[in-house]
Amino acid sequence: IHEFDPYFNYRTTKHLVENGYYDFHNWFDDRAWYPLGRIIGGTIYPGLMVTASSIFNALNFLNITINIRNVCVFLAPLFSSFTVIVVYLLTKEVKDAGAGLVAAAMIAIVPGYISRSVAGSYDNEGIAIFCMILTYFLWIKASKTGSISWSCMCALAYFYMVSSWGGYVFLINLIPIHVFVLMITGRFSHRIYVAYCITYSLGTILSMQIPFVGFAPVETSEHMAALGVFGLCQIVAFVQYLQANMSPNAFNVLYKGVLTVGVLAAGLSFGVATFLGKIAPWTGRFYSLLDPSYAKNNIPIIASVSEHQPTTWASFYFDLQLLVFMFPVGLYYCFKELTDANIFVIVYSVTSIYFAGVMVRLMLVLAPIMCIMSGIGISTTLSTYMNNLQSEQNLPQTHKNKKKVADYPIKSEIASVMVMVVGVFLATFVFHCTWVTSEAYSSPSIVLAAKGSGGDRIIFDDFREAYNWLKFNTPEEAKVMSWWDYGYQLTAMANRTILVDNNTWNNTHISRVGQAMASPEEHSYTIMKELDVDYVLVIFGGISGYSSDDINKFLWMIRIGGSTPEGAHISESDYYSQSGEYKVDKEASSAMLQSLMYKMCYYRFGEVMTEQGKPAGWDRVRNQEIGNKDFELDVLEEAFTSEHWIVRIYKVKDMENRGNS
Amino acid sequence: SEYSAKTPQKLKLIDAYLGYIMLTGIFQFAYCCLVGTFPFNAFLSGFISTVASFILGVCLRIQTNPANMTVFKDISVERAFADFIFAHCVLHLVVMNFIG
Repeated sequence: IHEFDPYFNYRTTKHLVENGYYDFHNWFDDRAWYPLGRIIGGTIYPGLMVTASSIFNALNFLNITINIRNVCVFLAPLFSSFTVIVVYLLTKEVKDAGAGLVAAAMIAIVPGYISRSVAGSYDNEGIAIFCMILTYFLWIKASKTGSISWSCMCALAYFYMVSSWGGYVFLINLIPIHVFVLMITGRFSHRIYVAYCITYSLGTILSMQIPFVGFAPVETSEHMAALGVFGLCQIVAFVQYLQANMSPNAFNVLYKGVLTVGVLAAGLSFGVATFLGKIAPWTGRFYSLLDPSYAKNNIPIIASVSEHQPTTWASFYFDLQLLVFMFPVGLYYCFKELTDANIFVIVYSVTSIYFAGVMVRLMLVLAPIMCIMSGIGISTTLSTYMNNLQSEQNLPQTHKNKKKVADYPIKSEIASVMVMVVGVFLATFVFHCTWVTSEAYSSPSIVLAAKGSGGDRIIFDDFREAYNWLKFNTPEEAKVMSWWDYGYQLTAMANRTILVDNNTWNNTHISRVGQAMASPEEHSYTIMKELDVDYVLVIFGGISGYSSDDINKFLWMIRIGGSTPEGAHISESDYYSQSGEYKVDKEASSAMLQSLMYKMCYYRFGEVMTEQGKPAGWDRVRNQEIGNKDFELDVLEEAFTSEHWIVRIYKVKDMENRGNS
Repeated sequence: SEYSAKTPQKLKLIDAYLGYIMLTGIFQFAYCCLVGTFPFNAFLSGFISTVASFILGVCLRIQTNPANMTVFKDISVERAFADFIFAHCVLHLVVMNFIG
């Protein structure tokens, strides 16, 4: 199981399998966020866990005894194969079977999607993308046929989507936007009315069954667009009904009057409701999508996550390659023959491009629609040119068909060149995707591998070594303090109580931990004693060269620690050197050299020779010789350091028996 | 009037049903305004039940209206009614779960 979040999902799935659904639904976890605890039943999206445990139970019922860990590891690839099928179905609805096949082939290997669906990536996105494309397929089917049963199926698929990922907010805004666009382009018909109203009403009450969603669909701004369009649907349908049954003059007068009154009333009521607080404003995470600078200025936690950074052009090409170029082609062909379904994919692609540009992690939402558009583009290009591939025998047939096709010189030769070019593009796409997958998205990230000097592979298994040490050598009720990144892995593998984890739901608590890490030893000791900490864990990359260690994350700890009132004594500028740079050598400020994090990372490091020709205590990640070498720890004692010094665990000393000695 | 003369019997039946559903919805909403929203999930499930039943009734009427035959070519009256029943099963299952 890779990364951090999947460990939490794995732990909850184990709990679900061992204790049953009621226990899972009502689970209060006291081993995380000490001393606050976490209501797991009410703060997760259970779709992933329920899916995995259903598959596990079904297989075990048939006496295929598969371990729950294996089910979890292989769930994402299984669902990505389902995604391939649904993408084919969706593109077939929008265009034709040929485009569907190309799109399906592309989504099968595109790196943007593979990043979240490798075996071991047991995360919500693994099934969420399948649910999302399934919901979109059923929505297009419903809007095309106008049948109640398809709309009902769409609502049920939407329920599955809501249960699996917080990104369902994208769906509940995209479908109303689509309906709205259809309204203003004059394509609103009975079919759309039936499809949207049923999907919305059934979907809303279904979505409220998930405890984490609760009453949000009627109380928060993120869902108000759907409600607004629902109301608008009723009004437009009623207006169309009146228009059919009244005389034109009377209708015009009534129409204008009601329109002005209605719009004013609706706007006023929404405004008053938001002002009075009845409708919650956009929450931080989603608001930062609309205003990217909001998180940076106000919520350091959201800004610190590397997945939330804006996407670079290199990332776009890396994750999508050919799709970046074929996407406008598909968009053009969609515009050429506008249908309701085409308008949907156009709106979907434009909004996804915007959001993928704001946050790197939303590249995942962009990948499927890119595949669909590129599938349409490539399929239409190929079919256009393949029609021109003529041999001598075909000439009489074109006379028979009397097709008014423009004829230009060397038509057949150009066609064969184009077909070859597209073939070469597709081949390079495959090479690129397989290379990217093997290089970038295959590492489990809990076990690291590097090439040694002789070309052999060195495995760094420090994380699991340290977590297992914790599991077997510390009392069961011990509390471990670390930065929030490692919380999920600690609870899942070391099975100890932790203070903060990746859920990051309580900013003040994380800020307290940040203060403990950033303050000098004496001050940290009071904080650690206040929080009942027994062990402290840090990640250090100075010897192995592992660059995602805590010293590199230290600036964020300082920022978050200083963002609450108790951290008023921590200010970011204190931790820079005289010249304003972030350094750990002799030039570093005293606040930096005396901080608990510095001391924990570099304890006894001053005696270590890391590289030839460099002095002892040479940090291989920062490429500097550390400034504070010979120091003793007053309030901690070293408990464990892993083989390559990546994980270091310290025990917090008890208070003195006699005070002030 | 034109309505009584031109509308088929089946559609008039659906219209009467819709009127009844609207009344129940209005009563529930008025009660909620008077007495307060606790327990909110019970109010929501009851109110959404009326709204969704109304919508489903309207959709059934649209699909069985002979004037709309061109739009709903593939959906026979029997199919429309069967879909209506299916959607109602789903709706009431959820309402039962949510009403608390």
